[in-house]
Amino acid sequence: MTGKDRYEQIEIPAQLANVMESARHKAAARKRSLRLMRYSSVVAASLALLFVVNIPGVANALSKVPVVGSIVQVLQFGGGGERTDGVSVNTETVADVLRINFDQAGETVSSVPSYTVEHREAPNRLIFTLNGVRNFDYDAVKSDLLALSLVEDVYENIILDDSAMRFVVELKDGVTHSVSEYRDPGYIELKLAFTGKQATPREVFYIRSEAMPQGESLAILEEIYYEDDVTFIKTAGGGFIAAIGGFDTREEAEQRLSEISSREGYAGDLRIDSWMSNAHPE
Amino acid sequence: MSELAKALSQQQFSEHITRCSGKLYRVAYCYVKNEQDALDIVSEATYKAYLSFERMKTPQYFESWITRIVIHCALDRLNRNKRIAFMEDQTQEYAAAELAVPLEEKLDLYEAMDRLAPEEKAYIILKFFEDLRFRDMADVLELPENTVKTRFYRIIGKLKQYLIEGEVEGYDR
Repeated sequence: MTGKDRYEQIEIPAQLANVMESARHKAAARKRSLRLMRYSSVVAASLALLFVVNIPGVANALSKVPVVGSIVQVLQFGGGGERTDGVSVNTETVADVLRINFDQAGETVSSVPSYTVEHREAPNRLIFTLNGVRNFDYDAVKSDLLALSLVEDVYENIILDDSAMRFVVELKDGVTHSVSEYRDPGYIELKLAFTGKQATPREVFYIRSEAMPQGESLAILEEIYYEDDVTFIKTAGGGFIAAIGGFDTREEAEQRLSEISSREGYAGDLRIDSWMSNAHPE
Repeated sequence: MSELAKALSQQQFSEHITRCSGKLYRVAYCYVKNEQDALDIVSEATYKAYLSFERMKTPQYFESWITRIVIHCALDRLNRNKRIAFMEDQTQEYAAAELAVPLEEKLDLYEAMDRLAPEEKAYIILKFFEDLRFRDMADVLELPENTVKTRFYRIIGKLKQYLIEGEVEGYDR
């Protein structure tokens, strides 16, 4: 077969080095702005947590949780835990409860690693991020979660940090949840309950990427759109998209996309889409 | 990360990417076959790579990693622009008239790539133009080696079939 000679004769433009250097400078500026946003996000998350633990529904949930060890907090979204490194993770399930246990060098840990839980709709899902963990048997966690009758699906989110793990738990319609954090020993419990009523489906608008296989490309999109609170959703076809939103109206989504697309270096890789709150994107 | 570590990391990034810049451009060019688009792809890949370089798990595989990003950027661009017309009516250009020459020798892969779906082009570029082993292709494409082999031979078979048939067929996707 021929053609290699033509490949090798592709002329390298003189401006290639300048183009790459310019891209590197743009990325460096972007990185500085991302760092600034992250510090702001930590403050915002702390404020959100204070708000969550004071709402009556959560206080009620707290009273129903059987206590093993000392309960630290109960929340529906937010975060907690302490900074750790190299903690192993394993899970167990009982009825509609998933317990996430942590140990280090064979010993249980007194406090759970730093974690966050986000709750999103369209579809109804929880996003768990565990930081400072190394030995994470994702398949075992997935198997345990799928054994819960109120869980619709489970999938991993690839992130560019090998000391953190993130997974998404899609809940069935009409399912509510609470997340309890314990210490001595440190573990996290996810409790699921069917409310007995299903919400009326409504259209939700998102800014989304094209569907793609699970992998590093998605993780890079997270880096780029970190400050836009991007999440990753499994599509009806089994691919994954990066999604920003959801928004109640198309106008809100258009407004946000307009802001994003006006940024220097925007690659034009997002578009607006909508689907029902109980459905998946195409 | 300390300021010194950051500076070292940035310097390493610049050194790594400068070493393979020509290759990255050629890979990008194979997808779009024009200078400006290829430069845009390399620029976008550089931007994305710089954002995540410090978190890269295996810096020794930088070249595989950055090549993969270029391929993804090229695919994104092709998908966005929808400028690709698969199976254009160019068959006669590829069908050599000299039957005495073996098929493999008649196939100009640089041209024949235009007949492939965007996601198939990487197999030709990496194997024939960059001379990678299947194991290294698997690293770039983030696929099992056997999957790479299977897809590669399927693509080659497809290209040979085009040459044999010498007629236009609809791309079955």
